Amino acid sequence: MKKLFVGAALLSMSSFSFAAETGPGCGLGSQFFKGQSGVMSHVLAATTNGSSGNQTFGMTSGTMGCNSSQTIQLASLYMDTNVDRVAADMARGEGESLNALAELIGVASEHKSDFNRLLKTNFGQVFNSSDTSSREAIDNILALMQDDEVLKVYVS
Amino acid sequence: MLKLSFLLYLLLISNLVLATTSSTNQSLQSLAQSSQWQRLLHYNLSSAFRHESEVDDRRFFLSDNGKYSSVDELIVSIKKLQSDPQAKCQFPARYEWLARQLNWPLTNIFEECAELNEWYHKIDANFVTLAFPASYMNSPSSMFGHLFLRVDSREQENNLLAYSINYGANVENDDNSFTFTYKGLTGGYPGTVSVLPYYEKVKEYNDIENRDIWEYTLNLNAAETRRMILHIWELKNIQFDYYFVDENCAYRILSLIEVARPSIDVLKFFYTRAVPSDVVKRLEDSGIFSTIRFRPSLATELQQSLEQLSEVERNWVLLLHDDISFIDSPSFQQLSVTKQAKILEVATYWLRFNLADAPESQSRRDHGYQYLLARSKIDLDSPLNPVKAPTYRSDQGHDTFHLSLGMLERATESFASILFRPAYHKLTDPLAGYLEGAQINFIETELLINNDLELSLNALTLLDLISVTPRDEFFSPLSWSVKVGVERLPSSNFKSALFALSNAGAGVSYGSPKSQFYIMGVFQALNNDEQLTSTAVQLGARSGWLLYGDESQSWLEFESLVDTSRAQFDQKKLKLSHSLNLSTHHALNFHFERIKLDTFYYSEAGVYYRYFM
Repeated sequence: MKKLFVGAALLSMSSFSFAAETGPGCGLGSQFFKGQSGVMSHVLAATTNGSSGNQTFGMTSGTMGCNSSQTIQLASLYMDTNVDRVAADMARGEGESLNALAELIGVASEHKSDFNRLLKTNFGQVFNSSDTSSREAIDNILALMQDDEVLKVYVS
Repeated sequence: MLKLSFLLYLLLISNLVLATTSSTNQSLQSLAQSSQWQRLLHYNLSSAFRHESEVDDRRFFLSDNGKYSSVDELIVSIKKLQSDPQAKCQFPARYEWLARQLNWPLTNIFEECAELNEWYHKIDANFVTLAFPASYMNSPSSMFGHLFLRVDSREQENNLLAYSINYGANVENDDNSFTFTYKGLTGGYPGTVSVLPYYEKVKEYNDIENRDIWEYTLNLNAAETRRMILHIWELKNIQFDYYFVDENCAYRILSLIEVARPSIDVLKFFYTRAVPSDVVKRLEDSGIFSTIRFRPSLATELQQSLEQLSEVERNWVLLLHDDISFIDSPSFQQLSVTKQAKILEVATYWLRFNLADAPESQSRRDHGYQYLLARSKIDLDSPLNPVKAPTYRSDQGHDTFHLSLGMLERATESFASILFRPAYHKLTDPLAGYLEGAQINFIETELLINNDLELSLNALTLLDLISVTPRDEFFSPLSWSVKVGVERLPSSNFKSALFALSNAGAGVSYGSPKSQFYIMGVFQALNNDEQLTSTAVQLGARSGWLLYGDESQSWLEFESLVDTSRAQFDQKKLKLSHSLNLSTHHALNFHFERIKLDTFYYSEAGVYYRYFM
């Protein structure tokens, strides 16, 4: 049990130990529409109802190994897990998962529709190709917001 | 005279002292027995007739005897919580409650508890919601569903960003399924409470396991919420022995809710078994739910959106899946933008659904990217209607403990039948709140009484699981069944005997969930040391039709098995079972079987009254 906890802490830290080369997003990120090979791993997870290597107690480790703000770290972490849902919402221009990203970045509710519209119109810039990682997507989103009159206030 | 009055004086003083001590003792006793203290320390009668704490971790107790004595733990807690700041920071819920009972200071008490403060303010609890992911057929322990909590903060607008509080077993991944079953049933795994972002649980349950989630918000007041959250802090890294049947997630989450509101007092109904849907029912009766929401799984979203497509649109989804280049074709581009949007959205749902158990594929990712890029160019809100929640929630079905009384005619003999089953649901039981085509039977026992009032065991089924789900172009589930138990079969000399039976089947089903036709290959092994020199191994097939009416369930099945070692157990069985639902917890069942065993034919017909409680 102790091993699991220590391992989990290390795991969560190591995924963010790569400093940003370009853009403020944290970590390596995860692949878009990634297959989950290994049915047994999630079947076993289901049988234990919630025990996996990433057990934590809601405490973020002090540093995630990158220099960005807490906001961007949290947004990157969220995007890692949810890149598929966020991308699907983004293409539609609406959705709960996209709203959660906006909230994490700090976009006020009166600007949510601007946020949604900006990303939908520029989908191809957020996701350049099917190989775009969640980390690159965050970088691209922040860059787009920087250039937008209304939304740049959230990334300055 | 002086001596006498001195003696009297001594007597008076000692009586007074004794009286004070015993009244202090009495008040300590009543404090230790109070429902709040009992719940904070998790003392229950659940374990082996002894009143002790369910926590199996030394670090949870301030007294050496804390696990076994609520009074000892109280006495030592009173001392240490006042003198040791570290103890106070570790057990804030205990401190606050004792402070109120014993008039200790209550302002700025946790000033020096840096970690606690950081965590508490991050959680920033406003509402607590109970989350109930419904059952998922392909995984044994998940079939009963699961319960966990979600804590919604004041600032939060989006539930995905809430924290979830989860209790589960820490399993070594390399345990095989038998070890897992054994350890899970006997407390061989430690269970701990963990705190994770809700969006991770939603992804796990909705997207990967395709389980719908029912969300029940609790109407706890600020003090109750605070007490629960502080208590969760007290449980950080604390181990409980995890027992799959009784001290499982449902039981533990209920115990957390009772820490917040001890007056609910329903934990005592779950000492021997805790089934999530039963826990939810009791909580609902206690009036603790305010709003209830439905969060559909990816499979449900896919199913309901497919229903909104025309045949042409469905064909487009299939076509794009096979050959993505059609997305640029004039025939696709000429479709109305609404149609294109629908097709692309459903194609995306289907692709995401398939991700759950498929290896990494560049081609699939390219498809997904093309769908989304094309969809982003269509300036339209989603033309699909939102998912409709089912009429009956997973906690609104029949109760899980089952009793059946009936009359049975077998060949020429008549019997009265008594059947009972602690869990869970048969194919012909009232469907509301349960999955179509899913059967989970545990420890079903049937006793027969003949005309001479002799009692005999007809069947003891340890496990009887069935999953039939229809296939179509979008879903290709495996239909399967597993049965292990003891059954009475007529043997060659016309006297019946009990045989140990193991049966497994796998196959396919077609149709719709409410009316499906299935066929499975079957393997069966029969054993009886007296009747058989060796295990009879049978191979064959079973095929049937399952029909769900508005208030009825019907099941017709034909099974044919060939005994590979001798003809004695060549078996053909035609079975018809029809149930009429009288209400949520009452049904009438008609059962007919025509059986051929080797060269011996017989029929069975029965009428049963089924009651759920």
